[in-house]
Amino acid sequence: MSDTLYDKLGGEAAVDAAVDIFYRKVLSDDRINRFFEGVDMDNQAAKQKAFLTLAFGGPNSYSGKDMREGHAKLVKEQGLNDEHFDAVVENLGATLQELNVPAELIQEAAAIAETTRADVLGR
Amino acid sequence: MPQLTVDGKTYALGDKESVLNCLTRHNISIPHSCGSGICQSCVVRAVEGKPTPASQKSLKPSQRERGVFLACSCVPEEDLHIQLGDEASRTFSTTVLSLKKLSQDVMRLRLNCPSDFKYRAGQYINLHHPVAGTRCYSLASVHGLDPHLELHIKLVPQGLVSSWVHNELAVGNTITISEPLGDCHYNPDKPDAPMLLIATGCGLAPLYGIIRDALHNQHRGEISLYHSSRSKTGIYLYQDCEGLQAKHENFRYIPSVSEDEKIPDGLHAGRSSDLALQQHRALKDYQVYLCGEPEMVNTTKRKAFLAGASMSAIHSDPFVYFSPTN
Repeated sequence: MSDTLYDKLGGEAAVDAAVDIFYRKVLSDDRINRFFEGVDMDNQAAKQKAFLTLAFGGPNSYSGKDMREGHAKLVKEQGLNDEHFDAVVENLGATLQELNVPAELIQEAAAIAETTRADVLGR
Repeated sequence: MPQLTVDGKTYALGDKESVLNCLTRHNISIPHSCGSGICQSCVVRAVEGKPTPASQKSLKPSQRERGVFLACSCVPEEDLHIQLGDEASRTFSTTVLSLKKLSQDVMRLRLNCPSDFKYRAGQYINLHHPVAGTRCYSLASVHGLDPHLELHIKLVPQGLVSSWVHNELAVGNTITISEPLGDCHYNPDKPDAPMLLIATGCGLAPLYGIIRDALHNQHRGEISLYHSSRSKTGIYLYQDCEGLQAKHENFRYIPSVSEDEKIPDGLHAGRSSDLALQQHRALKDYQVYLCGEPEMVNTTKRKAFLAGASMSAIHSDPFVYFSPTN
């Protein structure tokens, strides 16, 4: 039996290593950091961890409904759109590159993240 | 909708209604204070059904196993049968040892440390007022170093609990406190990490305790304390901090005032957070402690994180310090 993507990436330890790097990139990215103004950072870091666990193909409790409800206000009131979604996926890729993850695994993770696009953008 | 059973009676929960709101709506009164999952005043216990993870997140594993949860943070997903007045929230009875003014509006309250009260400096407790409920205060004393518990209590205009402490409480009075809470304290596993501690006003209390705890544990990394107040009257424990600095090579103390026009000798100009981040630009591997006005804490948390501090290495008290806004 072959290892899952989550195992190959290194499981929860890898997520922990990635979450600071990823969250720092997101907060430093002027295309998307306005969506994070005034949010509780500890809560947000926990959400980033849940998102990365999902993108790593790990055990997660994120449902499409959560994704939809969690972002509905941002879509409606702050114009969250494809460009912003692309920026997040780009930051995910850059984070994994920084952690020396092989390109094919980065693509797999990006493909999983991609599956949430419709829910996140409320389509 | 899930149902809530208490004392043999069953109530229907409203849409997205918390257990606390449902109880209040039915005139069932339980202790509560912050309403946001921080003060832990509203602990109750589920004897049947599972409380939501969010309502147990900040509790100890032993409490979680027993079904203890926070009524204010629990919007049940299934039927719950709960028990009130559980021993879940441990309280201690103690006596006032001394009261001393540290500045115009800060009172140092020392309490007898109950024999089985184990804590780390920088954690906080709920102080119970006979009528007004509870308030959170941080512990400035150090377990194993001080025989007493020490709190710094700022007089808040119209503040029931703070004016009670300032004006009515007397040596020998008996009062009730909660067990120690929170995880803003010294980390003995990182003896070489540089520590950056930033306080405004009474936020000094936990940090003063954390620093003495660190020094007591022979911390080897550099420890820098930035404390600011609007004017020099708010810079309290100046002599004590200077004394620590004279005694310990790895401890630096930078007190400052942000609004005085003339800067008194020995003090710097500016807010503690600004000075600290100007003088410490790369915070990788640092342990960062932030206590004081919420606006300062939130802004600085973000800046410290972007300057390289890990989220797990940034410590701050979750509760709001009551301070006048003007």
